[in-house]
Amino acid sequence: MNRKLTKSASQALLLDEALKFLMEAPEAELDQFLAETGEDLSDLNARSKGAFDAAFKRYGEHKRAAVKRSVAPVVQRLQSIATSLPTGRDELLNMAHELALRILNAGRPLSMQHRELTNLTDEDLRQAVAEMLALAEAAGDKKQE
Amino acid sequence: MQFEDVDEDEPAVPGDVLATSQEIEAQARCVYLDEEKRSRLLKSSIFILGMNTRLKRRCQPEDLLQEALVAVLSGRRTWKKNRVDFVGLLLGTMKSLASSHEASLKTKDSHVLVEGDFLTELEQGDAAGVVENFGDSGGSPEVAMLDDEHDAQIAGVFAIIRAKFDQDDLAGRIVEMMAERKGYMPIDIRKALGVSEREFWSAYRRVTRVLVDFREKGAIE
Repeated sequence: MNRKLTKSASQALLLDEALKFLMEAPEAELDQFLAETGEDLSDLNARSKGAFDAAFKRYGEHKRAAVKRSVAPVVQRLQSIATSLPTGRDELLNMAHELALRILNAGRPLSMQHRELTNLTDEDLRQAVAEMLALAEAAGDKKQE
Repeated sequence: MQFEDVDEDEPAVPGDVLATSQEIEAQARCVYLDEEKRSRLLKSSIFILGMNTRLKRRCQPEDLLQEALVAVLSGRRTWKKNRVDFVGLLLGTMKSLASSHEASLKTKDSHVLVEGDFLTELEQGDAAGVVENFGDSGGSPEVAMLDDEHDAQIAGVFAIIRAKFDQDDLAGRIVEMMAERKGYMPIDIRKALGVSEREFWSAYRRVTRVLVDFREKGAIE
């Protein structure tokens, strides 16, 4: 193997030595160094704040994406249930009533969050029934355990 | 700009104390509220970019700082609390990201490789640097000879830098100690030379200026 030292290896060494100055130098010396290089030191406060704000925003998006990935199987299951539900509104309301009784009889809490099923749109009603069906199935599974 | 983060996080070893994501978030918020620390980090980013000329043409210091923050917050870089404080972690991450991206840009910019002139190298994320890879000689005479050649080359680099300063210049004496390559930190050098902080750092700044110029241009003007 050709182990001839490259220019980059010595540059890496010089970088490490220069970075010791960065890590340890008093603020005034660092400021003077940067000023001598003609670097733009204007508005450091606003610029650094902007960097942090942007990072927090990206991190927030990262976290939301992670949560979305983790609940994706549940969402998929509910969507699958919703597609297999009856289409008639009266049928859905009857089904919701039966499911609510099943869930409560299984000793599981059920909150309609102050919503009246009869006031829900068709789409929201289908969604609510799908969620109740999933809850009832889970309650049934738990009871069997 | 999109950063290429090909550098791997240094693995934890027994005894390392890893920060939780909540601790990391809390520290990031603390630094966010500390204007002085925030500004120092941005200055550090400016400094690091100044040493990575290809990346500097494509990236603002705020971008590098942002990228380091995201790498740490998202867990791509772990915080071993026993080794470094949070600000030190961000500095190391900026250095690591800048180095790996600079190397990537260098590869893309190099259209022709001259046989025998280049060696594929791995830029490491910590302060050990590429030189440490050459420390493991393996023991064969051929490798030992090449290690001697490497040491001579490094000594040559420091000799050139030393020659930039007058014989009695404190800056020159600092370079002499660096050339010993015993891992001296600035405080070690200052104690050995027995000078005041003010005098020392003024000279160290001049040395750093020359190091940066040499690294960038390969020579001293």
